[in-house]
Amino acid sequence: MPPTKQFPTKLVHTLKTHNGPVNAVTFSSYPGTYVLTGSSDRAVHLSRAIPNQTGTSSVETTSPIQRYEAHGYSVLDVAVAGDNARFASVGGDRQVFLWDVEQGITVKRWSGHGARVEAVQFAGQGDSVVVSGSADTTINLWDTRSNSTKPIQTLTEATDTVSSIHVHAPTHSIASGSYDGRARIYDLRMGRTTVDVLAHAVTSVRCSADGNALLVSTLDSRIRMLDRADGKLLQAFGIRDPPPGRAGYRNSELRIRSILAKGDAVVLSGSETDQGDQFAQAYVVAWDVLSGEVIASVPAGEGVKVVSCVAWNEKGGCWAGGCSNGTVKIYG
Amino acid sequence: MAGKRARAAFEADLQAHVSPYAFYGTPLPPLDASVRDDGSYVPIWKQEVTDDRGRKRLHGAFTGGFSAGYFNTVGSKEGWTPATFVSSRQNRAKNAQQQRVEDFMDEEDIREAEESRSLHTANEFSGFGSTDADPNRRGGLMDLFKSGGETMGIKLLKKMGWKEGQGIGPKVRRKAQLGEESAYGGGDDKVYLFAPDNSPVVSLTQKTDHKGLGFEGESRLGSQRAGGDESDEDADPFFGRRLTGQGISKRSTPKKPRRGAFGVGVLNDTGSDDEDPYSLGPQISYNRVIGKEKKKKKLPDEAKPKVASNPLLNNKPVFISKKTIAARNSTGFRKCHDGRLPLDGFLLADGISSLTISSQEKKYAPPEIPNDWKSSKASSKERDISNYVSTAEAAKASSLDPMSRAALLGETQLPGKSIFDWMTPESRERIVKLTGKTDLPPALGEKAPEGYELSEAQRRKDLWDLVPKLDKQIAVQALTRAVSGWMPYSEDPDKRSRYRTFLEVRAGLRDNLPDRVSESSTDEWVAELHEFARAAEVFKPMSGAMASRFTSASSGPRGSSDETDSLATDPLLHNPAKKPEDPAIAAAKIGMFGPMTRSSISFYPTRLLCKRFNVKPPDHVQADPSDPVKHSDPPAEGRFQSAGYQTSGPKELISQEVMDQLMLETGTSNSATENHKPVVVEPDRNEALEAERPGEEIFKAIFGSDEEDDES
Repeated sequence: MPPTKQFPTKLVHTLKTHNGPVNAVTFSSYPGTYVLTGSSDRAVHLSRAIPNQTGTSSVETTSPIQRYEAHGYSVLDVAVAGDNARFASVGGDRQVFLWDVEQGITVKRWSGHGARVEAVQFAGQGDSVVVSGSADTTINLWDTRSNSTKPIQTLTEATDTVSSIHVHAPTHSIASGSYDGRARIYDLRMGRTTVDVLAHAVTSVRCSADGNALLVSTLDSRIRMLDRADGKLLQAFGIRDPPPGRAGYRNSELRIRSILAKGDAVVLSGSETDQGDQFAQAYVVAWDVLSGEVIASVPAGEGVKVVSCVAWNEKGGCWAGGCSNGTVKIYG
Repeated sequence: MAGKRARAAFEADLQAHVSPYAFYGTPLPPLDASVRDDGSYVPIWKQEVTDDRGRKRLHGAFTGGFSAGYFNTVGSKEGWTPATFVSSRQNRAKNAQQQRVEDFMDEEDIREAEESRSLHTANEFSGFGSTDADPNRRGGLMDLFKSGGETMGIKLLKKMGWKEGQGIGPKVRRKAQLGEESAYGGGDDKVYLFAPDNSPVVSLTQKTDHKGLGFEGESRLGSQRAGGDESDEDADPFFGRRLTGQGISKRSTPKKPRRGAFGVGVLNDTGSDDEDPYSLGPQISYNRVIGKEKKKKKLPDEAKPKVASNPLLNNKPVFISKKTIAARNSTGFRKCHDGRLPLDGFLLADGISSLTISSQEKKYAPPEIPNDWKSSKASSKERDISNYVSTAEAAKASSLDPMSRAALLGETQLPGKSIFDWMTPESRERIVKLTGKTDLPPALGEKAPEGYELSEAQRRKDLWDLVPKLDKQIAVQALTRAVSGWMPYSEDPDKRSRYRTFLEVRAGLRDNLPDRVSESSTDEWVAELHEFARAAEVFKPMSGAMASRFTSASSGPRGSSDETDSLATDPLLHNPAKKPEDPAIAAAKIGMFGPMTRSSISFYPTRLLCKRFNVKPPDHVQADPSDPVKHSDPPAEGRFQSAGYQTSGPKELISQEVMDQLMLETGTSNSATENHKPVVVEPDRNEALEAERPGEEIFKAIFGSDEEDDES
């Protein structure tokens, strides 16, 4: 059955808890009941992904379950540990925070970065390592089990801001994308770093679940799927002209994250709008991985200029998009 | 022989064979000269010191020096990169690059310097703000257009030996003039050769006012400036003050006390007490000293100018009739300064000046014409102005071109025609754009003469000429690579197919012209074909990989000639030469992802990180000094690591496998024994240990272009 029919495009929940643009959205680890959102209003909010009462078609929530406020600047990325007990957040204040979800306090604060921290992920066995990528062109690997203030290791290969990190646990590798136009995959087991040149600033990297493909978003409004083995292009998205009446995918200035959804059958990405266009609204676009066709293009609502991040919840079959007007919309 | 075994397996097997009973310690290597002994003595000059990341620690002068920067950072992102050595053998002197101030400025400084620059005329155009000592030369706005300083004439004169202050002409033999006294007192009759005296420049001052001759007007406050400035107020704002000679700058008009106003100002105070401006009565009417009447007014002889350059201004105007002048000129035989008579037909400048001045003064206001006066002389016939055509307009209206004019005038036709006669206006436009010249002859777009018109076949041939040349071999190679996925434009299937067609055409598989996008002009089509040709040329696997290793010598220091040019034009806007684009980026830009865009470098995860990830550390990661060395299961290559060098690492130029294969292919000494005894197979020889020169193939593989080296 083609995934077009199944891709959920119905708005089920709108979160209006943030005052600033939402920079990061992530579902809690399995089963993904909650959603963590990081925003430019310097707070991380924990909310229910799908509200309990399911009477009306679309529900609005204005207050989160929990607010996590410690950052001094906007929160740029959030990552949840596998046991849902902790999460990590990074932001423009050059800090990496490790939070206790229940108590709402920071367990660890690492301040080894010299510039804005753009991306964070958990890694290692039992999520014992926090990987953070920063605008100081480094990736720092922090040990959650020691009290050391220094990172275990600093990866300095990038020559520009590290904008995105994805840890692929089965292959023990860390994929990173940088504004220097390169996607680097650090393979710990082999001790090799493979560098793929994309020629345009990379805003998002994502490994497929089997670890054979790498999804890379670049600022030339393209999303490419590369073969991790030899770097060849498997599929490119966002190339064909948008069908009439639908807005095309656009990513030329901002950090727009893309993800793989529906068991790696669908590529889902937010989008930005033309800065000059007053009335344009951003779309979330979904492509079929195999054919490269656009299977869904969901408008993010009136006055939304950018959908900078999306998250997919496999269990619930729903996805969330963080919008520039502070709302997070969950479709199911 | 079966496939190649892993190095560790081979070593283990070798040891098991040679020393099967060694249970403790490290067995000695087999007693065979051809087998490498890894514990053997390596001369010091062959040993290599590496840091914890396997980078070379000690470097030669050309690679960064002893320790290569702060913490061995040379060549890495943080460190500086050693300059590529460019031989100066061929261009010795040019190599001396001058350091400029801008080399030591950062962007901010350069920007500031740019901002502080302001537009002004060059120094030699000394129109405004000039502190020229001679205000006579100042000429208002006119100075903007003429350059001060030395004119070409002065330069030429100086080259011929002339000096400022001298006159022009042959040298004069005369007595030395050492001032007035010595000339009279000293009886030195020696005669020397002197440069002639400078003849004074004739000054022609036009009189435009109605004041009497010699009238100076009231002296004003500003008039106390340097001599000759008095007439500045009636100077033309555009053309500057009127032409005056230098000679009149010392005008010796006796200063008189002002009488125009009451009181006396500070500036009028001469400091002398004997002139009391407030004393009663006219001063002149009293004689204060008896017998000394009007002595004051006499100027001493020395104060008087010796030679008045302009007799009109310094002397009292005396009427000289034309007759007397003519008589004087004709009879006097006035001589030039060198004692010779003026040339035939020439007059002495002195005589002319008096002539011209006297004739110049006859400009009076014309008499008023009575209202009812009518001229008796009426113009013979009123010309009809309406159909008057000026010569220039008539010339414009003429349809004659130079050739027909020449025919009318009966000139002989010049042989041949200009290339512009055959050019179309568009191509002329292009030439105008390229050369920047707008005065090119008009393009006539003439057709070729009879019998020379382009045939259809010729037209096709011209189109073929537009198709860029590409070596057939390269095209075939690119096509074969395309089969294995080495193909750019993976994002645009149409373009890719056009690229393939182009390659096929150039490989000789097709005869018709390469495809073109519908509704594209020939120029676009040609541009795309050129892009294809470049893509096929550039993305040969070997050249692509090697291009980043070598830089061409032409990118070295530029020639001195254009160096000075750029300095002269604009040193602050100097931009460094653009680096050649990384072939990987170029490949990525045209969508050719694959081996071109993929590279691999070593990654050295720390032990702790590997522990956190629960993976065995990669072999090339050296043991942490803090970690206790596990003796129970030493890594397979632990022995080699302790021996002080690495079996695999980042230092090889080409990977170990390629090296092995090449070594096998070269067929070194043991190739014959390979088939019989797998034990003595020597799959890899380490260059660091064997002093023999490697086979020719290696050099070929590295430096030559090799077609079977594509990684298919």
